[in-house]
Formats: sequence, C-alpha cells, structure tokens
Amino acid sequence: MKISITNIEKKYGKSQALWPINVELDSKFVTILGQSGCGKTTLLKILAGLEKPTNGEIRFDETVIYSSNLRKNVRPNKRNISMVFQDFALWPHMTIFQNIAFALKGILPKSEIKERVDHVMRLVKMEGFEKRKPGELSGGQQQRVALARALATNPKLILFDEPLSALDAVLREKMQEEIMHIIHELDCQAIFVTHDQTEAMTMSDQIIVMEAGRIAQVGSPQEIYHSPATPYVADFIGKVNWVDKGSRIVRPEGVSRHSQLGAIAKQAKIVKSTFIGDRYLVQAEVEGNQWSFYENAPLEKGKLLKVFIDEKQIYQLEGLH
Amino acid sequence: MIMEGRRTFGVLLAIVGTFAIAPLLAILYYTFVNGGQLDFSQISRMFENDRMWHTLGNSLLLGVLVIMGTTIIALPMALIRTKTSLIKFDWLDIILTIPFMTPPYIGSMGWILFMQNNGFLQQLIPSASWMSDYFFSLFGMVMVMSLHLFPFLYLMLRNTLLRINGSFLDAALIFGRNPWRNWAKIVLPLLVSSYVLGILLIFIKTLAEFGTPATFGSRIGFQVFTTEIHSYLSRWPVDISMATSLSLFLLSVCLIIWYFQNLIGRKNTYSVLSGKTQAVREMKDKWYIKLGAWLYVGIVLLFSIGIPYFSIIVTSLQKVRGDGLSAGNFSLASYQAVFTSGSAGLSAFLNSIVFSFITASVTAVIGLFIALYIKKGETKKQQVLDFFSLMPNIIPGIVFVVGLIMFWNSPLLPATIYNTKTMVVVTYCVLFLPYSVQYTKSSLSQLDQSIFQSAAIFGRSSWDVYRHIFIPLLMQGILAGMMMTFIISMRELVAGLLILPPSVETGATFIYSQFEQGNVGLGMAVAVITVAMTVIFMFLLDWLQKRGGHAGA
Repeated sequence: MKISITNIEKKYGKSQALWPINVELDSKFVTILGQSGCGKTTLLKILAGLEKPTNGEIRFDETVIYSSNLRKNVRPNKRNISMVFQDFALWPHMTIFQNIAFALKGILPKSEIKERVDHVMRLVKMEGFEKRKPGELSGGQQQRVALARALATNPKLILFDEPLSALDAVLREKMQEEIMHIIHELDCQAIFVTHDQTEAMTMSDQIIVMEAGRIAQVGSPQEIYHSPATPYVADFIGKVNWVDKGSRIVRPEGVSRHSQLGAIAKQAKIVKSTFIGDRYLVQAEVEGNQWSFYENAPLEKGKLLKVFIDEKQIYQLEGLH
Repeated sequence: MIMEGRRTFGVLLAIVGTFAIAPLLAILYYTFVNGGQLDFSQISRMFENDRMWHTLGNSLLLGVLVIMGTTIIALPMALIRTKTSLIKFDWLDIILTIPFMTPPYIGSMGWILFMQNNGFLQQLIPSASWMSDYFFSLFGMVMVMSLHLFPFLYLMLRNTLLRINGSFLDAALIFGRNPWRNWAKIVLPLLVSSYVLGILLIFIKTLAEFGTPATFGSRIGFQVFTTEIHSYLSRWPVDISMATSLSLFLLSVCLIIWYFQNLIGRKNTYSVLSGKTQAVREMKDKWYIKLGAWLYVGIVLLFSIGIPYFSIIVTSLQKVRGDGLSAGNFSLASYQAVFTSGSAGLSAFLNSIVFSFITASVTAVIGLFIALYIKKGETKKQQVLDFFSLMPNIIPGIVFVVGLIMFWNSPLLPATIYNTKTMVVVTYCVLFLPYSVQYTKSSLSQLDQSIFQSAAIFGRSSWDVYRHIFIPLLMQGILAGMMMTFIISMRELVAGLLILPPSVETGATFIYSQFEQGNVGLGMAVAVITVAMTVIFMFLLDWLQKRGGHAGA
C-alpha cells in the first residue's frame, strides 16, 4: 500500500506543530525518528485519524482518507489500521480476551472470534493469558497483548507510538526482533515512531527523520547514515567527524591510524579511549573538532599522532538549510 | 529516616486518641453503662421508639433522593466539561465549587427568602406564587441539598472522564465499531466505580448534614438524625441517653456505608492513571450543542449561586423587609450595625475568626507531624494512625460533638474545658484535622522517594532536614490545608449551637439565630461577609495551587 501525505500541516492555535509535509511511503517497515517535540507523534496520530490536520490530504493507495479540500475525514475505525500505544492502553476492566475481541465483534462471526484471538495470542507467544486482566500482567506482557490486539483485525497498516520506551533494554531488544519478525510474516505495513536511532536503524526499511515539525530526510537506514541530508541528521544519527564544519563529514569507520593509498593525513591529539566490548572507541581532537574512531588497543591520553582518512568515505553534504 | 520510632507513634496516637477516639468511647459508655452497670435498656428504648424509625426512614430517603439530585446535576455537567468545547474553560471549575463551599444553611436561607410567601419570587413574578407550595416540601429540600453537594460528585466524575479521555479512548476510536458501543463498553464501566464511590460519600454527607435540615427541614416538619440529636440535647426535657443512642446508631450507619465504599473502591478502581492524559485537542461543536451546554451551565449556576446569593445580598441591603424590592428601600444600615464596635454581630464574627485561625494553626502543626509519620501508610502503625486521623471525615460532626460533650463532662476528669472557649477550639480541631492531614499528605506524596533518601544522606541533623527541606517543600500543601480548615471552621454551625459557653456566639450561630427569630437583615449581612471571605479564600487557594504546580514542574 502506498501512503501519500500531501501538504499535511497542523497548528495548535498559533504554534505550528507540523509544517506542510509531503511524503510518499510504500516500504513495509517505516520509522519516524526524531527528538521529543519534533511532531512525530502528531504525524502518527494524524495518520490514525486521532488528530485532525489543519490542512492537507492523505491517501492510502488511491483512496482519500483525509482531505481538507474535499472535507473528507474517514473515522479511525474505518481506515483499516490499528495502533500500539506507548502506555499500552489496554482497557483495565476487560480481560485480555475481551480486549482483543472488542475490535472483532461485528466483523467476524461469533464462532470465529475465539479462533482469531487464539491465533494472535500464539503469534505474540501469550497463549493461556486470555482470562487475566491487564493489571495482572507485567509491562512486557501487556505490550505483547497490545500487539496481539493490533494484529487481530488483519489491518493493512499498524501504527506504533513509541511502544518499547516503557520496557527495559533487554526486553526492548527482544521485542524489536519479534515485532520485525511478525510484520515481515504478515501482509501488512508498519509505521513506527521512536526517538531511539538504533531502534530505527535496526528495524526499518525506510526512515523519516523529523526536526522541529519538518521532515529533515527520508531514506533507507544506509542512506541516512552514509549520506545525511543536513548537519542535524548527520549529528543525530551515529557518530560523526566533521572534516569541514557543516559541510564534509566522515564516519568513524573511515578513520584509521594506518596509511592507505589516497588517504588524507591529519594530526590528532588523543583525549580518551573507551572500551566498548569488541574494541576501543578513541576520542581525539583533530583541527579543533572532537573526532572519534575505533582501535583494537587503547591509546595513551595526550598522545599526538597521525590519523588517515579514506577520501572515498568523506561525504559532502548537499544544499545547506 | 524521619518521623519514625515508637516514641513519635506514641505521642501522636495519644493526641489523636484523647481528642478523637475518647469522645467516641464516651458515647459508647453513656449508651451502654448506667450507674456502673452494663445496661441495654437505653438502646432498646431507642429501638422501641417509633419516632426513631420514622427519623431513620426520613434520613435514608433523603440520602437516596439527594444522590439522585446530585447525579442529575453533576453527570451532565461532567460530560459537558470533558466532551464539548467547554473543556478549555478551567475557571468554570472554581465557579462550580462555590456552591459546595457556601455554608449549606446560608444556601437554604437564600432559597427560603426567595421562595417563601411574599418572598423575592412573588415580588418579581407575582403569578409564580403557586410554586411556593410545591417548593416547601421534600422536593425543595432535596433540591437545595443537591445544589450544595453536586460539585463534589461533579469533580470526581470529571477527573475520571478526563483520564479516560487519553489513550484508552484513542484505542477505542481505533478498535471500536461505533461510538455507542465504545461508550457502553469502555467509558461507562471505567466511570462506574468512581461514580459509586462518589454517591456513597454524598450519602454519608447527606446523613451528616445539619444546616439544611435545621433551617429548611424544620419548616416543612422533616426530621432527620442530626436534627433529632440536636433537639434531644437542646430542648427540654434534655434526654442525654437518647441523644447518645441516636449518635451511636448514626455512627454505625455511616461506618457501614464507609465499609462498603472501601470494599468497592478496592475491588473496582483500576489504575485509570495509566491512560496518559494528553494535551487537550481542539474541539468544535455544532451550534446547538454549544448553546445547550452553555444554557445548562447557566441554569445550574443560576440555581446554585445566583438565586441564593441574590436573596441574601438583597435582604442584607433592605431597610424594611416588608417594603419589598423598591428603589428607596436599600441601605447599608445592616452592615453599619454589624461593624459598630461592641455589637453582637461583630463580636460573633470576630469570635469565629479567632477560633478558626487558632484551629487552622493547631491542625496544621499536628497534621504535618501525622502526615510525616504516615508517609505512604505501609506499616500497620502508620495505617492505624491514618485511619484514626481521617475518621472525623466519615463520622458526622454532630456525633463527635455529642461525644466531646460527654467526654469533657465526665466526673472522672480532674479538670474540664467544658463551657470554655477552649472547648470550641478543641472541637473544631477534632472535626477538621482530616483536612490538614489530607492536604499535607497529598503534597508529601508528590515528593519523589529520592528526596527522602538524599535528605537522609546530606542532612546534618533531623531538625535541619525539617527546616530546610520538608517544611519548605510541603508549605504549599500546609497552607492550602490551613485555608481550607479556616473556611470550614468559619461556617461550622452545629458545634457552635451545642458547645458554646453561655453568651458567646460565632458568626454561624449568630446568622442562624437572627434568621430564626431576630433581625434577618443583620443575620444576612454577616452571612454575606462570611460568604465573601470564603470566596476570596477559594480563589487564593486556587492561585496557591496553580503557582505551586508551576514551581514544581
């Protein structure tokens, strides 16, 4: 399904939460990445139909979902989408079964509802919890149930609103993998909002980086990492070494102590070496900028040495904002 | 950590025990012990008395009807304030709490002055005089009490609805098939538990209410528990054992309801808090919804504030009541009379201020220590103290007053404060300690656990920790509790009627006695001053809490 967003903007009174946004999304797993307050959740809620944009148009393939000109606004429950909320939003007075079956009543015959609930509970590995209430489950379990509820209606699109931010690091990584796995198994797309760049990198086919109510860049994780569109994106994603402030960058992998053909030499003063498990992250001062690169052994603090940059790995930022 | 150890518990329990628990034991003693012997004849005398059963029926009927009345007013109001564009007008909430803060007897006096024969309604619209007969009935009494109590239920419902408004409702919008089903299956079940808690408290408050039954109920001959207890103690022949038996009975009824309220509360309150409340969405209503909503708010405000306030203000300004609403009939004479030094009104009013101020200060200090000891109420001892200090909230004021009279009249005491002004202050302190404890506790609960831990590590002495960390942090809650205590002490009526020493009056008893048999204009002038002070304090309180919110954010 192709999601076309045309000139969508959102104002709260006088403050502009979203500047007019134009983007087409057709990848299976899209991430909207940005710091808090950049408008990423607002955009997601507009897609869900929970917020009404001030202006613009949204189409799912050729179907108009929202249009300010046509005065058309399809209700959230008629958009064939579902959503996983940051705080899970499982209704506390219903059992897990009732929570999931709530969306199925009326679209499935009664006899099939149980079957479908069992099916999605199996998908998220929560068989046997149907009779519990949300309050009796742990955070991770509630998150799985929230995912099961979202899967139950066979939606074309699932929206995730920072669903993993309430979980601890180990659980988060596990859930990332499971969500990816489930989405790729099924015939549906996902739009995933997060402020965690590693999460965005590992999970998505397409990333939208947002900054202050605007889209800074749209691209695959590789494109975003190797060819950032703006200095903001370059700084926000991964570690960056500025060759020329604001225009040319090289990632830490492009810097080494060993001379190569076509390499540029620079004078570096070591600031510190940090053990990060498989190797050392070395921070150094190069021409007044803070650089970082990787080494197999720690380097002594204050040491002066030459580092070499593979010229092919230097990236020139295009048109500055 | 702070405020721990056996000695603190002992001291605090001794204070609460002497002043709050002993009076209740005194009631038990006077009911069941006669001349040093266990004696059940008094309690059986009460049960054989037809009048008691009649009173019980009246009280329960009134409670049920007031629940219905408050629901009819509060539920639509809560929906209007959460589901329509009126959601953004937060100032409405303060205005809507004014009826609750207005002393109930003043509200019903206002209505009586408006509706009575030759009252303001008949003067304004002579053809509406037929309404008076219908008004002076149980219906009118329920209406006046509902108009006083509805803000309490309204605020509870509104807060729950606001919390449901977050992601719980968003999820329903996405997964639900139609709005009615969402409403029936998600909003209503989540709302029900707080509704039930609310109406049970309304029921207890109705049973405990003295002001309206004393002013309005006596006019239509509708006796309830509180007025019966009062008349057994104040009318000849005084029947103390009957009064204590009735008090005990009323106490038991309230405790039973409170027990059920707790049971329901524990079983059915979900952490609705997990539904994140979010920034208010813009709402656009159709014109008729907007019009209807404002009309509803307008009518409620007219009935709960407009009419009673109009009546008391105009009455206080009238020269001759018989001359009615005519241009030349207005003067400030009543106010001049009140503010003449040495006048009965002024001394009564000043007495109220002094009593209330001392009460607010004493309860603030005791409340602070109790709150610091209770903290989150994790240990048995903390829970015991919590229960005892909040007990006066569940138990009707008149029961405590009766208990205090019995206790301080006991021949076993070497000295007594009975028949002194100290007795008044002690009574007020017992009745209103829960407010100070609750306000301080709630501002304590907003402090993160880490503040206690860092204080324990960095504080040089525990006195230092109190002076520089806890008291400043809790000051806002303490002040709010003090203001609240001051406001309700100013209006307390039944305690004043029963325990004031001879020839001492408070503002409340002055208003009451002038209204019943005296210069109504003079009484209403004091009423207007009391009410004006209450409203000013309410706005101060609101400002204080908002400011605290900003500083804390």
